[in-house]
Amino acid sequence: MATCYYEGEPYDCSFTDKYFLPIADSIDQSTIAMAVKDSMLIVPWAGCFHLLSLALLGGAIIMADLRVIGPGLHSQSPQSLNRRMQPFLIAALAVLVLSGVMLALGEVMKLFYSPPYWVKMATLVSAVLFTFGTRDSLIRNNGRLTPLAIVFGLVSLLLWGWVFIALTSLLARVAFLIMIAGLGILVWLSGRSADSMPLMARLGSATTIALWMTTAVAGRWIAFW
Amino acid sequence: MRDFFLWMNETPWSVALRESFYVWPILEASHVMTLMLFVGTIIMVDLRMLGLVYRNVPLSEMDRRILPLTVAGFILLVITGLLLFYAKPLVYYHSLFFRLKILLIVAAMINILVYHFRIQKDMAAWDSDPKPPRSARISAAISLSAWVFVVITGRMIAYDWYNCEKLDPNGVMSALADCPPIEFADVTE
Repeated sequence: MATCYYEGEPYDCSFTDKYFLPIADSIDQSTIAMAVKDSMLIVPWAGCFHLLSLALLGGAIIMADLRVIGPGLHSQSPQSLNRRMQPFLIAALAVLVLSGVMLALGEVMKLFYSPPYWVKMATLVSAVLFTFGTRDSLIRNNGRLTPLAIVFGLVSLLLWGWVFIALTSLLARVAFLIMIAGLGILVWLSGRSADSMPLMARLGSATTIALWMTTAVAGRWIAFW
Repeated sequence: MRDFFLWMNETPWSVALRESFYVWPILEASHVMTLMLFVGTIIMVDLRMLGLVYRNVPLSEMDRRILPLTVAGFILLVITGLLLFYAKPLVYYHSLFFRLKILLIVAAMINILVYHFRIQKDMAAWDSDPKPPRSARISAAISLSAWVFVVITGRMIAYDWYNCEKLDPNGVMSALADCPPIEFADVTE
């Protein structure tokens, strides 16, 4: 607990409220946030671009990572697919972040107290770290783990595990376990085909898909909270 | 048709669905997540048909290996979409954005049929071409833009700028949305 002051009077408040609420408040009152809130069009269009780039990100992940665990263009190597999808992935991510910032500026104070928003931010960081730090290296090195990939993977999965234990509801956990089971079956089935990738690469790609799915679902859930 | 949806709106399952705490959000979230599968893969297939990516992959391999994913996504979208519609039939029936979205989906479907029955007939001749013939590229461009606008109009359904209560009751927009006479206007929600 910490002590906050309202018009000079002390009262008990949480550390978050004491140290981060003023920051959120000043963002909320900034010129750009005011402009976003005053405009009738910025938030709806940011929503559209957010969805379209989400679809593009989905396409890039599906082409590169679903190939590693089964369905996809088997005439192409996973390495080549991954390389060709990288620009799409980065472009989609850039538009997602940009439009996401616009969406967030429209409702800063609501998001400050929104658990799904913080789940999403944490899983986003974990998905980015894993995608570019671990999975990319796993595909390029044909399933061999480099020390750097291990570090990125551990940080990412620890962060994600903490979110799963500390912040999610029962519904989210059940949904996630069902998704893990589905991806696990794909990883197992794809191991039986003749041109299958090594197990580590398949696990890396399945994890990538799972991390982006959690991020996207948590993002959608902000609206329902 | 409005009477039918009015009746549908009052069926117990429809009421239960729109008032449910979890089922509605789950359906809505699944609808949006499936976008990644459906629109994500169709973007890649269309970009291949435009000759912009995967230029060394034969179109027939895209059809065989990627299109089934697109079709699976489409089926999921239709199922969740129909359930969402069933939960709030009157809201969507009177929504101009929803009407526009359905028109765009129909246009995209016609484009698919034209491609499948006309353009694709001699595909064997250009299957492995890095850049398919003009007719195929035009079809891909139509498909890509149609689905982009389906996503945009779908998102815009959430905004009430053109809902019946905000339209001039004697105007064209009101007629296009089949708005009920003003004394029944409250029934649309």
